[in-house]
Amino acid sequence: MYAAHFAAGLAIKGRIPRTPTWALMTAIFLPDFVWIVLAWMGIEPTQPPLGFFDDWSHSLVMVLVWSSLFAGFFWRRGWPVVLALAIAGISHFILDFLIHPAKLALYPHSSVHLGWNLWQFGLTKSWLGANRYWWYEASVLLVLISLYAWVSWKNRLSPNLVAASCILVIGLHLMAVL
Amino acid sequence: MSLHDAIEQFLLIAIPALVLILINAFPSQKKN
Repeated sequence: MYAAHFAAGLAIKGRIPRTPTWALMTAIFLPDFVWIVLAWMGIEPTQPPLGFFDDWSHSLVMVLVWSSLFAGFFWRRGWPVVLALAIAGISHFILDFLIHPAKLALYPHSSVHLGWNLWQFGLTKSWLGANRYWWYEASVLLVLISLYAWVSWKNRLSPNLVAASCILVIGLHLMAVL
Repeated sequence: MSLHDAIEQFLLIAIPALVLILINAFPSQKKN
């Protein structure tokens, strides 16, 4: 998922507005940042014949480790912020659990894998030129954006700010179909 | 993954994130 991760970050930001946005965006994509570095180093291959492997960046245990470590740096800002950042990191696993190129490992090199084999199903073309994966993410995005709008309204955040953030994230998802 | 691909993947996340950070840098005024 891509835009849905941003939407998850916004939903958390709406709930706990004092969480620094940059930290939230880093936490929400932490497994991907780790993956980029490890893939570049060749530790997590991305292409055949070595296959797709992301246990060190995306397995449940490692996501918990990366998220806790990162969130821990913000302990001076109070527990709500630490918790928000930890949840942001863990939300990456939850969203990837729904659909991902390969099922997610419990821990690196574990024989236990979590999630569903929906990747090939997702690649099938669907309505309006988009594939099923796009529509699947769109539905998740809609839920998260609605949650963001609702919690922001409850927290009386500026409607302009909320609208601009929503337009950006929805725009990102729409661009993926072009 | 080549360095070029790694930078591309990073920017794909970092650019929208930066825009969101800038948007949210404005004061989130409360409604009256």
